[in-house]
Amino acid sequence: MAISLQGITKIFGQGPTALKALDGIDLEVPEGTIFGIIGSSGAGKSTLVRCVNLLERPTSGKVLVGGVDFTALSEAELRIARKKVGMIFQSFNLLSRRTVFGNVALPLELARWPRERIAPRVEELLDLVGLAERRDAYPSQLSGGQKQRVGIARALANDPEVLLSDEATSALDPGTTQSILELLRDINERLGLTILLITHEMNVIKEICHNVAVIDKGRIVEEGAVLDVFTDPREKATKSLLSEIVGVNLPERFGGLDFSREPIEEGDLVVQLRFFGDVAAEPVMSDLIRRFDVDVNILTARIDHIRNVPYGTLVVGLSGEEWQRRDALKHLRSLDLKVEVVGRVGKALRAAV
Amino acid sequence: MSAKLFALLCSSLVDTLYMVGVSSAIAFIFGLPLGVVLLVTERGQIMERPALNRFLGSIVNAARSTPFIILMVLLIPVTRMIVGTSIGTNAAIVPLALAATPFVGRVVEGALREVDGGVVEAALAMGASPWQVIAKVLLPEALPAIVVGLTLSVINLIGYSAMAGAIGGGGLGDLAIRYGYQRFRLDVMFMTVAVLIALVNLCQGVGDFLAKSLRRDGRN
Repeated sequence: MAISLQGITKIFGQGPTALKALDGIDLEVPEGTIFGIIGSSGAGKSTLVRCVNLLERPTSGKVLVGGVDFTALSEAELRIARKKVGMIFQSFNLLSRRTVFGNVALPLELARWPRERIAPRVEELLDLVGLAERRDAYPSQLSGGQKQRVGIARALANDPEVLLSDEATSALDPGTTQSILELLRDINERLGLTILLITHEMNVIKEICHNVAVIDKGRIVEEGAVLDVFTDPREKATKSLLSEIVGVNLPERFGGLDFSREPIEEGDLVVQLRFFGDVAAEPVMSDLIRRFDVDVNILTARIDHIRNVPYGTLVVGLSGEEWQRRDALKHLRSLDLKVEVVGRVGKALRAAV
Repeated sequence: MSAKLFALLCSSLVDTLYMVGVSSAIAFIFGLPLGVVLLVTERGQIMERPALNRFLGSIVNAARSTPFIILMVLLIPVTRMIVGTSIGTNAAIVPLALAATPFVGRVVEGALREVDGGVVEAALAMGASPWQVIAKVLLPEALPAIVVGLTLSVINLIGYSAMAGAIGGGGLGDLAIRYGYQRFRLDVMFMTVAVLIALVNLCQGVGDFLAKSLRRDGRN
């Protein structure tokens, strides 16, 4: 089921102390995709995801899930509709006095499944998340990753078509985060579930999302396919969130250098290259050196993968005759790269290196 | 101790157990739903009814701020209406149960309040109705804390029941007043107090054990 948010506004409180947490959010989550919403804390992302199943009722706007307007449903209709929307949480929210089995059985009991049908369904779900042998353990006896697996099994019990994830990996260590993300991707692929997740970790988006929306101060400031947004971020909020993983900043020791826009005799041209896709596999640098007889000095570099597509950022200093550097730059610009001239630096750069 | 005195002590103990037992049972039966209603009708809760909540809250507060001995006297007409007399163990049960019900209500309310809001939210996200949240999430999750609270209520009732002796309610309190105090039988006084101490300790022990064995959050 696709999710469509139309003009969602949420105001907490009234009068002068009122707080506008969401300010006219429009969002389309296509069916079967993993859609990530990222923002720093206080940006409104948690409120937004809770608006989808109306745990938080928006002050204005419409929430359509699979074409059904949730905001127009009665309480009883909403309860039925919610069974098609699973949700997982940062703090897992498991019942401490129920076993793993009991926790996964809860949504089925709430849906009034007969007892003899509940047991096989729970077993099946525990198999899916790899926790079959822990079925009689209590949550306090589980690790964080195992608790989230119970949370996922529980969220899937009613065969939902949408899964909402509210910072589901934020309380987990990196290794466990990875395994939970793999499970979510697996579920998305195997069950064709639409997943809407919110996070403050770019890494999560990079790992499993198809599309991403950046939320800042209650508004969506940037949205698109993950690869596009990552390789060509436009908004300040996006860039600051990205900086932690694409790290395009020059190392600190270059910070004190004077960059000049004008050509400097005997100086270096500092260029930032961003590339993604096939071009990453080509020997761009060695080709550059051979063809233009320039010296290439790699100042900082970072290469990573988004859903198996390589992308990276490279900051290089080009030294040689002015015409050689110009030709080299022209050549770089003709390739499938994003080229940005950081500036020109005098001899000091070489000294700094 | 004479055999006669021992028999008296035993029959007083039975009276006390009877009064406390019956009034506890009544207080639980009415106090439990009262506590649930006090919590879920609060603003921002799953069945918010702020006006009802304020109304119930003020009644509970009024009942709880009235000293028990005054309440007992005030309730004499009601007791007569229900039991037919205002003297004896059966008559004492009425004020005891009435005093303990709001207490149990607050204790249950407090226990339910300790249930993690996230768990309730998770149940709502699964499409649980408010009644299902109460039955499947709030009460089971709060059970250990409720048991602790009920233990407290029973112990309170043991203390109150001794007070009921002052108006001829029967039981250990009655024994202590009539023999220990009015006849200067210090030995009876001490025996009675010793039995009361043992009784309170026993209740606390059983309550703690029960609560502990019900906990599954890793604190047991």
